[in-house]
Amino acid sequence: MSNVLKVVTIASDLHSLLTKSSPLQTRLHSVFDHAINLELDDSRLITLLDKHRQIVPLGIQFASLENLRSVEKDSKVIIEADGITIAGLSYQLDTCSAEVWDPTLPLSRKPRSADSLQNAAEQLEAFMRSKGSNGLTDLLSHIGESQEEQGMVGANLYNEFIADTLFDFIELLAASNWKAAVLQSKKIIGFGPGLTPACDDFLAAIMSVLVACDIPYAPSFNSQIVSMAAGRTTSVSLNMLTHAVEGRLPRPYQQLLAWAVFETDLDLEAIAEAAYAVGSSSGADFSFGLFCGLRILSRMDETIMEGEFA
Amino acid sequence: MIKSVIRKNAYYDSVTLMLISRELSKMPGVEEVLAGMATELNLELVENLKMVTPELDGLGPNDFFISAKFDETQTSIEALEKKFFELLNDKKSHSDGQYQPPTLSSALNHLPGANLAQISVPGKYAAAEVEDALDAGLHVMLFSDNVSIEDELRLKQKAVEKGLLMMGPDCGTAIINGVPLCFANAIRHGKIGVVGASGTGTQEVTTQLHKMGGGLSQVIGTGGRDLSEAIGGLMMIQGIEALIADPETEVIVLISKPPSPSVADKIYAIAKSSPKPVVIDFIGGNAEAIRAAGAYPCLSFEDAAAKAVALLKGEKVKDIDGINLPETELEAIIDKAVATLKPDQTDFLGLYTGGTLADEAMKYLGESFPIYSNIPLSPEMAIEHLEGVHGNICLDLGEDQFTQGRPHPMIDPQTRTEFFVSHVDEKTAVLLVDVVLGYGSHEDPAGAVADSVAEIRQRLGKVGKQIVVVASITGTELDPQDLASSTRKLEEQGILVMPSNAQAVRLADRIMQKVLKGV
Repeated sequence: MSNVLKVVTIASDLHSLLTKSSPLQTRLHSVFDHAINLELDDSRLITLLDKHRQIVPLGIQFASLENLRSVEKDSKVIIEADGITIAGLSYQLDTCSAEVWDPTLPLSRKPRSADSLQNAAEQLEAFMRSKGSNGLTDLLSHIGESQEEQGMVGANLYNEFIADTLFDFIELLAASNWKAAVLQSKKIIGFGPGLTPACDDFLAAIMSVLVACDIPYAPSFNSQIVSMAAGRTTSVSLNMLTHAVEGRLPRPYQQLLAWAVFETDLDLEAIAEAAYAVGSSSGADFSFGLFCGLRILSRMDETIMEGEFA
Repeated sequence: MIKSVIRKNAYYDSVTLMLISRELSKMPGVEEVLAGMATELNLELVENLKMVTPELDGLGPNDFFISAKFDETQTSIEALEKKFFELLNDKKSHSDGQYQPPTLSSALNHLPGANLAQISVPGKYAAAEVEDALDAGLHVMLFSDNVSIEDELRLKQKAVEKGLLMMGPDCGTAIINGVPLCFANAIRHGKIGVVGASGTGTQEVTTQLHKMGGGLSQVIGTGGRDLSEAIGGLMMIQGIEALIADPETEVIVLISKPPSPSVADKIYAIAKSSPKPVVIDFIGGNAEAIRAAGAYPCLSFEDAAAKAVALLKGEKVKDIDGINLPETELEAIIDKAVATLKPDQTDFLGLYTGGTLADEAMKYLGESFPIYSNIPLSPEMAIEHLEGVHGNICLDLGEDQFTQGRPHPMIDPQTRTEFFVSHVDEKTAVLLVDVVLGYGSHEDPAGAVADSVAEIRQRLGKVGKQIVVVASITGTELDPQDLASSTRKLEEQGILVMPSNAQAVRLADRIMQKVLKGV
């Protein structure tokens, strides 16, 4: 068995952390077929991935995870810039041909105009409709209807339960009623099946689109959402939301967000397909959140954006 | 009865949970199952559904729970829990149950005599894996799709240079030296060799020839694009040559959607020089050109199987194009079926899990009435062009547009189950379906269809209507799902089960003719 692990990609935030602070003492938090989470003392997760999963913030992608998969939960793992020690075995990290990937959005690109944002929302909606029922996208047909009209015919149990609350949240944000929206988020965070509950993927999209479009109250709003999330959702999901506060996203989400908010020649279908491949419905839930975020932005005018956050 | 099972600090990925929740919901007596992480709001949903139990007290967002509402006379929480962990372990056994080499080279060290690699990784990584396998002197079966045509050409050229097979990409079925690969049926061993560029078409031919007493030497898949201009039929040619050289093979069958004309010419030239008889079903290919090559053109997959078996037995080769019933009996069945319909029921709906079977259906039915599809025979018949809600529709539910984020409908019938609900309505007259058995397929596809038809009958019965359902089963009595019990499940729901897809299509056509024209 080789004691060298070939690194394909490393997130720049992890790269920086390892360069400045290693060795890092962690505990093995969870093991999946293509990913392993290591938990730091401050509850942040470092994610080891194989080539079947796309890179995420604080993530490192290897050609293969096979050598690491036999370790037990809660084992001590030490990770440093050039090596990893797991269950007493040390491996050298071969980073010579690794890509260092920045999980934040490159803000130097030209942002879309208001009309173009609306157009992006329409294209994204068309894509989601073409993909059929998947997670929260069931609710697409009910956006903009009165509650009496909604009826929720054919919706699954989860969507039926959350629809009104979610639509209220969207309306509050569109009216820049930030304070009420934060309170309403308590009724959304952590809801839905999966390790990153559907509504958290939705919120991650909303938060990151606000950051990407430089909405003045986004930083305050986002940090309050994350404070609210502590204890209300899974640790994996809380990590995702914490990254999203500053616009750091898994690569497929980052690319979809970039397509949505910047003038670009990128092909929506390829990008959105990659996002949809995340989790069971996570990618669809994120896409739905992004679509709602774009619609919210198109409804805000500058006066209302000042909002009532004081 | 409501009960819960909990696991503290346990994490399961969402794809696994989705599949397992669905399977648990199907257990007898189970009314509702919620499985997930115990976040505040998820527990609120449990409360809202009145499924709270004491076990859920004190759980946090990193704890896992299953809550179930069920009829305790039919099942128990222990049975549900057992099933949950069985399903979970079944999934894990693929990775934990035995040594799984992490790389191709370690796999070869583990099994030095191996000469074939089956590759199923996401498309963007597949070419590199195939390259490594070919370099190691292995034949390849590439199940992955989303491989570029440039990569496919390069890899197939390399395979040809090395005298190897590169079956795929998107190759769904093969039987090599008696070993079924991916989706394949249990077929007796014999002297007929098949080269197929279409998955379910090949399965239909092989199961038909088994039913007719034939057996298989080899089934070589090529992938659906092999007979395109760009690839030039490299693997079909390689496959034919392999079967010609194979002493066990006495008759060769070729299956594909219509090839590009120049590739067809190459295939016909090889068929002409073949010392063994060649049967060709290119679904609407040029029958005259095939005859000119000394080969045997076919009217259907069933016809291809019949011709191959006849050639093997030295019998006269004839076209098979009817329905295996005396005309009077057939007319009685049609009259009885049509009598159950109301005058405003005039729509045809085909819901297929097998793409080539859907193609075969449309090729035949399209001559009788316009038929819209996601895999249309001509661009103007694309489903997007269907005006309004109603019309004659035939869908291949295994196409990428329906399988994103969910398994192929041959593996998980849920996609088709949803289409039964959304597409069968008061205007539907005839519903045509396929049921594909075999390795790789769902454990009870016939049961899933039967359940859906029962739901349809109940739903339409409330408005005083019924529909006619016609089905065929691609499978054999040796398949794990059992052909006889599959047939019985369908017939118990009043479904007209025909012995082949071709005959099911012809019966559906006869019934539609009667519905539309009264003849």
